[in-house]
Amino acid sequence: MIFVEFLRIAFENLRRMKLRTALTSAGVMVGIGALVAMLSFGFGIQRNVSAQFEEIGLFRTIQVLPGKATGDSAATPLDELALQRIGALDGVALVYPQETFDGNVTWRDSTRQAVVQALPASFVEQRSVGEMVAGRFFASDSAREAVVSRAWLRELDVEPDSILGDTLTIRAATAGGLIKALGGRVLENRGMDSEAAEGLASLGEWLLGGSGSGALRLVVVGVAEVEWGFGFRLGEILVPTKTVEGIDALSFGDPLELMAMLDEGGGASSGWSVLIVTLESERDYTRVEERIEELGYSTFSFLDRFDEMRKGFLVFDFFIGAIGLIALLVAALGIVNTMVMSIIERTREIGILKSLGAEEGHLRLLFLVESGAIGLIGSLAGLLLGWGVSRGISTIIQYYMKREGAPVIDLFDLPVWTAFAAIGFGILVSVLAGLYPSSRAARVDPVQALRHD
Amino acid sequence: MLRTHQLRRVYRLGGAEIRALDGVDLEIRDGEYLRVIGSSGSGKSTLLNLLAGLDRPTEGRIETPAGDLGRLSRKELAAWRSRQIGMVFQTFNLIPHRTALQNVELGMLFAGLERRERIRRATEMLEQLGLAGRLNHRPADLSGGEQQRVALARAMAKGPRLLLADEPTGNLDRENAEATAGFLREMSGRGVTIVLVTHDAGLATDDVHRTVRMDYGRIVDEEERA
Ligand SMILES: Nc1ncnc2c1ncn2[C@@H]1O[C@H](COP(=O)(O)OP(=O)(O)OP(=O)(O)O)[C@@H](O)[C@H]1O
Ligand SMILES: [Mg+2]
Repeated sequence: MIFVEFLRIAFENLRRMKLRTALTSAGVMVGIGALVAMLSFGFGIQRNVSAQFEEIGLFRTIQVLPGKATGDSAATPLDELALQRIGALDGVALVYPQETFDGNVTWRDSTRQAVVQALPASFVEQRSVGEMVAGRFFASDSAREAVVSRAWLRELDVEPDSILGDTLTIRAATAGGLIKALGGRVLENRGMDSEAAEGLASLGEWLLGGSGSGALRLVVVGVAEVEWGFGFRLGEILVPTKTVEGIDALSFGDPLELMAMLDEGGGASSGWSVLIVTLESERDYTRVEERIEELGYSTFSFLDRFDEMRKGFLVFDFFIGAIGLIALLVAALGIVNTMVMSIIERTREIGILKSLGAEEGHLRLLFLVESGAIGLIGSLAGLLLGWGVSRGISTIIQYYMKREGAPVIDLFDLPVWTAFAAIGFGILVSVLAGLYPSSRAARVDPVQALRHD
Repeated sequence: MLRTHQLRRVYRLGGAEIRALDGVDLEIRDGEYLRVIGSSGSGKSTLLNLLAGLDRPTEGRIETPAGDLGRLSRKELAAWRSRQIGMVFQTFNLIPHRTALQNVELGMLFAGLERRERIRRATEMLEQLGLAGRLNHRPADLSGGEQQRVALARAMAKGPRLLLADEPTGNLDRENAEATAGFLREMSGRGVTIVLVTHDAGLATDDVHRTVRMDYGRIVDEEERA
């Protein structure tokens, strides 16, 4: 019962000392705010990101690059043989070249840009591309047929059935500007001075630009709901591998591919630049990765990348957490200071309370409740702050994800119990900070305190 | 109801010893109205604080219904104050940021009364003291006389058996001093034991049962009145 009375008295006092209360709880607010942001980020990464990466097959996907040339052996190219050898490995569900280029696609009277993906016809046997919405997959690697994605049709506002049997004309879009920009930067990153790098890139542009580009006329045989991968995506238009050999095109939409090409010192002639391997199960990941490397290819593992990312997240997380803890520590000092001041100012009041029969325990409790109340106010505000900040960052990140056409992932997650835990923690820290001042209050000598001024 | 035996309270300041109380034997009967006079520094306040259990004797005993105050635990002393004793002071000692009603109500908190009961009694007591219109005033908005009446209400609202008053009229004008004396007389009439410390020779205190004079920490004179 007396606890309720003390709560009332504490909040009365805090209301009376508005500015002081606000400033003291602001410290707690910053500390708890940072901790809440840290926790929700930590939980977001742990829960959502893993789950969603799993969903999009990140943990079942390996990128294979051509092997590096070593002293005694030449580079192992990503050719038909590579497809067969990797496809034969235990645990591999699917392997296909990451062969995309930006194409100008003409259908009926209009021409649009689209990402064109070359795939072996066997692709569909190994694994469905997603869902065939209409029609079928192309019949062979050299069929003059194409499958278009549902998404691309949606942009055109066309029903899947109505495009079947139509003819598409595909031309490679020149990627000159892009190669110049990207190529220059890659060379520069590798230690070449900027002028030389630019020169080389221009040369590349000229060479590629000069090689010309043919046009393909293909019949649309199917419409598919194309699935997502991580770090790559199946193109909007799927075409058979052999069919596109006639068209000189390279995609520079993927820096990884470009780097692979530069490493090889050549273009598509030595094989594809990247193969995508999909596994039957995540459990096979390390084993298959090792086997592929034994075959002489390089791998680029999303899992490694993800682990690195996760480490980065963790470091970031600890950093925010450390800021939160430091802020809380400073806030605790602020509370000690405020409470000591308040007790000095209220020495006479403490004497009066003692003369009215307050026990030392009562006075200790009274001031602990008061510092705890500062903690409660600060923690509630901190919860709002942390939540607001994480919502804000999340919105910005999601905006970019959407703009990049990536699946939208919420990086933050704040389970209800952590919200309560954060408030509890804020109150706990504040109560601990109140221990010294409140024991000082309890020890006030009433005779001295009540002496006439 | 109270009996002190060879009560001593010695303050040590540096090397010096100050004998604020130097062997006080005093018996206070149940229902007695006792006046304590004496020059400044004679130990009157020290005696009162010891009777209230706010201070502890250096030597001697204070026998009360609750036991020898010198031997009670701090918790037991707090209980003695909260239930058995009302105190008033020269400087009123009201809590400045609480209203008259809140001050009086707080006086009953540690006696364990329920909030509604505390408010009921506080209101009643303040009305009795002519402060019906001042319930929600803070001390700063009250005159000295009104403040002392709030303090008297706070002391008496819990119905203590013993009222300890240390120069309650010291800061009051004649009229308010007489009113305070009147209130004490009324309380005495209701059977409350009162110890009144006062300098005020002119105060109408014909109604006190006994007067003791203190000097240098001893009782030097005693005058009984029938
Ligand atoms: N805390 C203390 N430390 C040292 N000396 C003290 C202390 N409190 C009181 N004294 C001394 O004890 C003596 C008695 O003080 P006390 O306050 O009891 O006197 P009093 O009779 O109430 O005087 P007054 O009429 O002025 O209020 C005085 O000499 C005073 O200086
Ligand atoms: Mg005195």
